[in-house]
Amino acid sequence: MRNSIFLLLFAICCITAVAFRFEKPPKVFSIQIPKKWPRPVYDFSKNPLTEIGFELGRKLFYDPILSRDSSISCASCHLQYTGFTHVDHAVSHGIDGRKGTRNTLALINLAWQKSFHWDGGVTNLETQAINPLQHTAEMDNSLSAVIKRLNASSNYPSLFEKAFGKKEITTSNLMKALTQYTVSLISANSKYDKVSRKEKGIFFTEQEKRGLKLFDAHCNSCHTAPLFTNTLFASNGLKIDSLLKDTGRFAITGFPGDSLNFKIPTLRNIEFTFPYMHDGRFKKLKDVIHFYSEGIDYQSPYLSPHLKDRKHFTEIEKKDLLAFLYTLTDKEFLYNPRFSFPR
Amino acid sequence: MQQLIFVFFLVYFSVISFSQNERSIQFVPVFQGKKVELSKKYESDGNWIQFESLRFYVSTVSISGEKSTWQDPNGAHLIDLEDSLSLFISHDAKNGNRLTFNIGLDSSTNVSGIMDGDLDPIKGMYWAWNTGYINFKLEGFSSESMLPDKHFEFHLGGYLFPNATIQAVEIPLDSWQDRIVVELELGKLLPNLPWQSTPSILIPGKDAVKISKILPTLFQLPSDEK
Ligand code: HEC
Ligand code: HEC
Repeated sequence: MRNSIFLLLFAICCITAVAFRFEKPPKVFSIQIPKKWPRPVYDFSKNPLTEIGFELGRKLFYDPILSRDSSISCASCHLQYTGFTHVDHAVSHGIDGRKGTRNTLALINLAWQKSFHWDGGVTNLETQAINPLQHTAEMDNSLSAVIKRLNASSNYPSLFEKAFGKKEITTSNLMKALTQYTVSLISANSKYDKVSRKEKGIFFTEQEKRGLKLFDAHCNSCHTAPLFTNTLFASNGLKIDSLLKDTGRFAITGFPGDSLNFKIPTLRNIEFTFPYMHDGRFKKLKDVIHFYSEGIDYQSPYLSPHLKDRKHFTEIEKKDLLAFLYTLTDKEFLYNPRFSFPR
Repeated sequence: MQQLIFVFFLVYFSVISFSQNERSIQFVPVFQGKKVELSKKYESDGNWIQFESLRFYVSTVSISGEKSTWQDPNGAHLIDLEDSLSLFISHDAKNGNRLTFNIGLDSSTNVSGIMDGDLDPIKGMYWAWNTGYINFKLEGFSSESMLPDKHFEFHLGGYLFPNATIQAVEIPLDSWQDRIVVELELGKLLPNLPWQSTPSILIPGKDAVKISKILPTLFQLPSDEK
């Protein structure tokens, strides 16, 4: 008799425990799409964002457990204060069938991008992170080793269970968690945005206004507002780099016309994402403007038609453009505690 | 009581294993008519070859007959010579005179996000920097390889025009059998491989397309059934 009472109690405990677990599935939220922006490209239906999934992705992003000697994390190269890019130096790469050095890309408004990397070789944000995990030049860790290490860790299995309902950590859950974080990195609170939204008391200076005009005339066809990229590829007239002879998009598509075509990067937070271009050849933003004024290789057969009309900027115009580009800085994004190292 | 449980399990497992074998398509890689064993040295005409790995994706399998068509509800299967269970695809057709499938994966599978099971990138059939799946992978050593260590690796993939490598295979089934055995004669592939120029293909492109086009000719019914 005593036994059966115990059994009954035990059964009740089990049932309530199970019921409790099913009672609160993680709460789903959606990203805030800024007003008048296009619809995001990323398919959230297969990876609904949850607070707990986002926090898990954030933890992983900052955790060196993902690299073999536990020395570097995603954040080692993608620093929040600099628009999630790596300032100072270009990063070396050496992947199957391709060798090169590429400058770290900023991680900004990724939800609106159709393809990733300077050559667009990655077609889905979810699979992008396999690159840094597998890559000898980067985190030098094979996928299965990472999965094994995470499964053996003391804290991750239960965090994954909370986020995805499954204790076992798989490639897909790892990638989905990281994506929940990176896809949420939205920057839409720069001075430019506030002026566009006609927020009270925020206006462009005369210089910024002149810069905007120049930008609309000469840059916006590629660096199209509000994303400040049209998410396509182009050759902006840079000469091929002498060291690595990176041909960009051509390596992916094999179309000769795609030679020297690179991803048109966003210019949001451009003040802080130096050095510039796929190989980081320009250290300063004024060097970039000088390039568009004086440095374009007009002989190149690959030069985009958008840049074929020669445009020489006067010194004043250069300063105006620069002033406008600074209005794309979004300090709320760069210092948003929600994106920073989790405590 | 214990005996009863034992008998139960015995019956249970035999039913399971029986039903697995009952209706299936089995892929049998052969070399010059003999079942391929990995890491075994095969000699012929003064040359030798040793296979270390053979893996490929099979997708959209169907068996059609006069009256009915069976379509595989499971998207894609990774056939891996190292994993003997993976060589079987179970089916549910009662009759049919035509087996069709694709070697490789269609473009929408290639651009979808991260996936599980046979499509998990951890299976080593995924290119991360030029995202997409490797449709067919053959690796090993051969006296014909120009590389000093005699290694060869053919990773055939690519889904974008004009470098798409997915191939359709159609095999007429003359007499119906619930267990369909399909051989994959590697001997037909070897003379067509670029041993001297590129015994290591690791990217999509013309070379991968050229070899992929030969793949459908490798698939055949065992000769005693023809
Ligand atoms: C060693 C430095 C380094 C580390 C570590 C690193 N990245 Fe990157 N990341 C890069 C570089 C370089 C690129 C550009 C690659 C290219 O274009 O070929 C890049 C590109 C990206 C992109 C594509 C951005 C775009 O706009 O196309 C994403 C997303 C990204 N990284 C996320 C991550 C995540 C998540 C991690 C951690 C799992 C990570 N990175 C770790 C250097 C790094
Ligand atoms: C034809 C399209 C096109 C036009 C027009 C264009 N750009 Fe670019 N821009 C690009 C491409 C492509 C890149 C990346 C090139 C590379 O790295 O090889 C780029 C890179 C940049 C970068 C560096 C971004 C980074 O993160 O490294 C800045 C800054 C920039 N452009 C500013 C401008 C300005 C200012 C104008 C107008 C004067 C302009 N661009 C006009 C296509 C264009």
